[in-house]
Amino acid sequence: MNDRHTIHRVLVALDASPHSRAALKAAAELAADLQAELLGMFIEDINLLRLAQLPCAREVAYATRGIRAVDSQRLENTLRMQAAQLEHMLATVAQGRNVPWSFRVSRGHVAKELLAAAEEGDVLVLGRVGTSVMQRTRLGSTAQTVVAMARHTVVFLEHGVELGVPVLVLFDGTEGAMRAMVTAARLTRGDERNLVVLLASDDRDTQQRLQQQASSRLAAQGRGARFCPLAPGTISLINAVKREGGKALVLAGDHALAKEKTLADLMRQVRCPVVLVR
Amino acid sequence: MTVKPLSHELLRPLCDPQQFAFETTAELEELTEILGQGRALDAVRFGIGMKRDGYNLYALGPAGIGKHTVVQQVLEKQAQQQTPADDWCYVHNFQDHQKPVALRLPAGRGATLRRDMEVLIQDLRTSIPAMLESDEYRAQVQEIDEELKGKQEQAFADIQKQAEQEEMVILNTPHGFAVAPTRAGEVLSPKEFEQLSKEERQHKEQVINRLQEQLAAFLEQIPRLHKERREKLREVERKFTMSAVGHLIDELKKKYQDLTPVTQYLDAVEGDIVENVKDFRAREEGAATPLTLAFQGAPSFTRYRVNTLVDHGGAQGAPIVYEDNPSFANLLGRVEHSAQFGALITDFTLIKAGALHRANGGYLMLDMRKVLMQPYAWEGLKRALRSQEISIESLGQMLGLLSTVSLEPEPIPLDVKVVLMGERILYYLLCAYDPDFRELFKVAADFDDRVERNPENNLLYARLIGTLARKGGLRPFDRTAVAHVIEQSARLASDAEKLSTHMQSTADLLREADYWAERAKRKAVCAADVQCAIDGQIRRADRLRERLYEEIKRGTILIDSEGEKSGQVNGLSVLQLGDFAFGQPSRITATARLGKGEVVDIEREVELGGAIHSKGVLILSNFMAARYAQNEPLSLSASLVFEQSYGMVEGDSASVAELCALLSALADAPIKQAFAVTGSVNQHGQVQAIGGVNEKIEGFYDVCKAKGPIGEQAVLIPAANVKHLMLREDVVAAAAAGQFCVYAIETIDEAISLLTGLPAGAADAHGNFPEGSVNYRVQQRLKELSRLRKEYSEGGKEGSEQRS
Repeated sequence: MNDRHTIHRVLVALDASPHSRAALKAAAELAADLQAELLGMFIEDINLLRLAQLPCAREVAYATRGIRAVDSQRLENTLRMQAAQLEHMLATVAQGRNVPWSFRVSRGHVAKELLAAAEEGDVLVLGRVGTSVMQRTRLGSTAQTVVAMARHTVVFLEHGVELGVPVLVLFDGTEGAMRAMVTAARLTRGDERNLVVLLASDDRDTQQRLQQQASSRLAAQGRGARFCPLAPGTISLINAVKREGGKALVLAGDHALAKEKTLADLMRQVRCPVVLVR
Repeated sequence: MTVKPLSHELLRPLCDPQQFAFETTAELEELTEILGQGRALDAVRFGIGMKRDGYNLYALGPAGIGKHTVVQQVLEKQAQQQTPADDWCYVHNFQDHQKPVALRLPAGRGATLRRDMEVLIQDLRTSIPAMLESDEYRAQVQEIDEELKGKQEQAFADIQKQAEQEEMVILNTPHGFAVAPTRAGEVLSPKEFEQLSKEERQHKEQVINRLQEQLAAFLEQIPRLHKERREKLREVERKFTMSAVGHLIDELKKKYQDLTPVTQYLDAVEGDIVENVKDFRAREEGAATPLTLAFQGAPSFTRYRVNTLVDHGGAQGAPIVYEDNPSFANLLGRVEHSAQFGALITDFTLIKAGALHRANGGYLMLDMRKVLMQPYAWEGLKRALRSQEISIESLGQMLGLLSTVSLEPEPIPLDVKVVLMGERILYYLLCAYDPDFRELFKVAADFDDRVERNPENNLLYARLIGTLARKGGLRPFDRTAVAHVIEQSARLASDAEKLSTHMQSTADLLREADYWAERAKRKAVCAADVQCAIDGQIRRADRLRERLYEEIKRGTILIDSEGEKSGQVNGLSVLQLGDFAFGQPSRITATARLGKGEVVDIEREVELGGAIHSKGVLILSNFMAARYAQNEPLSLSASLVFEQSYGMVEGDSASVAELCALLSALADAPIKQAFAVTGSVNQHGQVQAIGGVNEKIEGFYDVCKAKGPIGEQAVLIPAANVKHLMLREDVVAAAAAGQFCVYAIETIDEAISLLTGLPAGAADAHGNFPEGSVNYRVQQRLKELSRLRKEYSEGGKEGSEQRS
């Protein structure tokens, strides 16, 4: 994943939620930028299909609040219809950006299927799953699994935010941070002013050391960046993203923030896509 | 009794230039008073001073007499002493947008309010978004959102927890939630479910039912929570907006605290801004195309604008407005529309003031003729004056022709003095036919068209000439020119003892005289220039006169100016063509024969004689009967005719001539054709005054001159007309040289005696006239006719009269 030439596919999980549409758009942009293929996945939840076959299967509808039986056949139809709609949406978005695309429907556990489909060098783009009434302090179960298990770079977005520039990367000198910075540099659309490296330390000497380390690594690739010192702590990170008007926050996959509980909180507060680089 | 020719001094009472102490009018001071219009001026001043309803003015007089200037002068003088009128603005009505509110502000403050409101809205368009972007506001909004989400999540988490305890999972279905039994984190397959014991299945179903009900209850409360959130957000938004708006509005309210309607309006503005704060935020989000803005409605701040309908800022004194085009809309104002995507739309900013708005608190001058010629303008004006308020509505609305949604601007109280200016005939017609007119225009300012000619007025007239010359940028007039203008003014007044106050004619004469002085390279205008101007005016207008005289000279129109003839006399008439009038001699002939005592006026028989002309002929026939045939029937059949007259003949000024022709025919006494006669006669034979005496005399003089050398020609005029004589200088010169005479006659006897050269003869106690006199011959002839008639009737020959 460290080498740009290894990225050949952007994988996006699709469902009918607005988050998923935002994810698709971002994935298409990313694929266009990286000249990669776009693979859209619609995963039919196996648990839901099983439920539909139970005699006690009933659902509480969002809109009418009425309780009604879940009909297996109707569920299958609905899923098929959703798949067709999503494929159409994918085709429209991908063709609009001239990106080669494919669409795949599978059945099983969403996260597992997604991870199973992902290969070496893929980037996963994930809209937050679910409806507006749920999930604030917690990621959806899919996202949880992906965060925990993915060996790939993952982009998390939600409805209303767009992936773009400037790109901010949290740099603390670790190898993971180094990889994150290199990936972030690829998202800047060729303009180094769009990359902001946040030097995570309140010690001036350390900051200088980190800056040297980062700039020499970027220089080796013929790139540059702006550097900003960053006091430790989530609050200062959030403020930095807001101040810079960040349109992407890149974190090392092994960073302390890149955990299921903290990540959800961070995403909610920064209101910008978060990229976990592994 | 011998009538002597009038002395040439009486033919043109000259204005002696020596009576003036100045050389040119440049030395004279400005004439500030108005010459000869005392009555009208008093009326105007009274009308202006009278502060009661209906005391509007009507200035009546002929066009060009200077009504406009006089009224304007008086009004300006009065208006300067008054305070400027108030400003009027229309503003949005926040309760009912179709009825814009009228605001009254002291002069100049309307425009200030407009600017203040513009600044206010500009300020708010930056300060409100800034306030709503502030961290404090965001924090409060976030707090509300968090609270909502917290409540929702707590409720959901409780249900989820219960589900987990019961080995259940809550799944998202495409349209809602479902509760599914699990084992080791996986939803039970149908087979696994079947393998459960009956009790277990029942228990699971009970749990599922319970959880589903809880989920339904949870979903049920979501809209309520959202509503609560919206209300709280609204409250926070209101609070923040108020803090942005409040102090700005308060500043304005303080500035306009003396004007309650304005502070009330500002309160309404504040309320509206707080209610519609989204308009102030919408701009920040942008991204709307012009088309979507057009159809969805762009956030508009038009409603906070101020339409300064009337702005008297910087005005000195009360307004005086003259509306040159007094159409209905120009008088009462209008609501304009603008086209947007094919539809006509309007709002209070498109309300335009009319002349009444601009003149409100002051004076409005209008030409009556123009008002009457504009459809509904007069009705609209009357309604406004009667109701004392100006309501703006279109003609379409007024007539009920249009029922499209339009504005109904709040009527504005009207306090105006209207001065109508127009001809007298319009005034008298309106008095007779329009009952509202007298009620609304109680003061008539009647402009006189003439003034006494005396030394004082001569001097005033000289100053008037000086003033007009100065105002018109003309050369000064020397005293001879002034004298000549005064003489011409008397001529215009058709009266040697009066001067014309027709300012337009005088001003035209001055300008034209100045032109000739310029041509002659003179520094001051002299009498010759004035004469040039007069001659020029006549020359430009006299084509027809020239043709007519030419035809007389060539013998196409038969007029004799020498020799003698019975039953034929030269009468004189006047032709008026536009501003130019000239005299035309006409041959009048009479025939007489035996008959039943009737005098036939051929003009009347063929309906070419007017009523007054016919009256004159009837009078003369009765004069004949009364004088000559008191004791026996008038056995005469006479006919009178204007020879070669092919148009209407009106007026009785030929009745002396007609009577003379008839007497001449009866007496067989030839009339001198070198004479012409004019005048009307009454039943006692007295000669009465006529009009156009100057033109008549000059007409006969010109014709005689054209036909041959002048020598013994004369004109007989009524003695009462002597004071009107203001003859041309060449005619006066001929009279002075004894070549042309003017006789003033008082009776028919004087006329016939002069015309025939025979004595007229006075009746004795028995009614008999001295032998040889004209009257004797007439009487004898009538007696003879009477005798003949008697013979015929006795011999049964009545009805077979001999035709003459």
